[in-house]
Amino acid sequence: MDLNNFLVISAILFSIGLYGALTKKHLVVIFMCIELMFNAVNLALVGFSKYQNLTLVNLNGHIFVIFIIAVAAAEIALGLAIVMSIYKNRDTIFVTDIDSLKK
Amino acid sequence: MNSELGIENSMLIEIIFWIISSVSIISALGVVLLQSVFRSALSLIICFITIAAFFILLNAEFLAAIQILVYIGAISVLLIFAILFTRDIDIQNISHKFSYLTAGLVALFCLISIYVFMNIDILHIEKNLESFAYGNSVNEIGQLLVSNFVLPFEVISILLLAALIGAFVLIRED
Repeated sequence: MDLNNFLVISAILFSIGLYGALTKKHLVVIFMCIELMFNAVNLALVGFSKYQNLTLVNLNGHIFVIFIIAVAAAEIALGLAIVMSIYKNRDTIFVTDIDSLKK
Repeated sequence: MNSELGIENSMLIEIIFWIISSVSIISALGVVLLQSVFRSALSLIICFITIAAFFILLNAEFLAAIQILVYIGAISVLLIFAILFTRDIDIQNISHKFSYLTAGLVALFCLISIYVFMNIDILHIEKNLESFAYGNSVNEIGQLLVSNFVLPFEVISILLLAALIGAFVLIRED
């Protein structure tokens, strides 16, 4: 169990999240896949922070993970508010139907 | 991991790592592949729990606690509320398909396995708890947050306030 194991797991989770975010039509599912990608990045950062070859303790990766979690919380709160207002105004949450900027 | 743990314990940690990673990948696939949106949200919660378990394996206990509090406690609830409020997907009533016999058997199995593990002490729980108590990183994280990273810390607080106000403005009735 070394850094490569965690990086491979992180890459697999990130790829699954990217696939879902690019192919799904439901807005909430897209948000869930974006959260999955955030988690994969957090896992990679904590892995780097543990397995680096420095003599002194360096926890900068942990600090970055805390900031990423805060930004993800802000993003999901705003994003779900946007989803709710789109649903109230247009009665749909499928991204293929939200195309009024294209017309 | 820790130096005082024996060979069989590092083997055990390897086995735990592979179990956690397979559960994590399967639940992440469930997020993408399951048809019902509500079920994929539940699968996402399982994936969050396995990420917290990875953090504990990486000696980041504070981040595991934060992960459980923020992701499982707050973000999952937000996602499930959003799914329930936007009802143009088919929401089956899951509670009617729920079998009390199965749930009872699962709970009984968990109880018996906890009892057996505590009694035969295969995990050396007390020794591992002692080693966890020394490898804790909360002090260093707190000192970094108020010394080197104090500006991003304040910016993050303003960002959270702005997101809160923005969500309120978007969602309110005029």
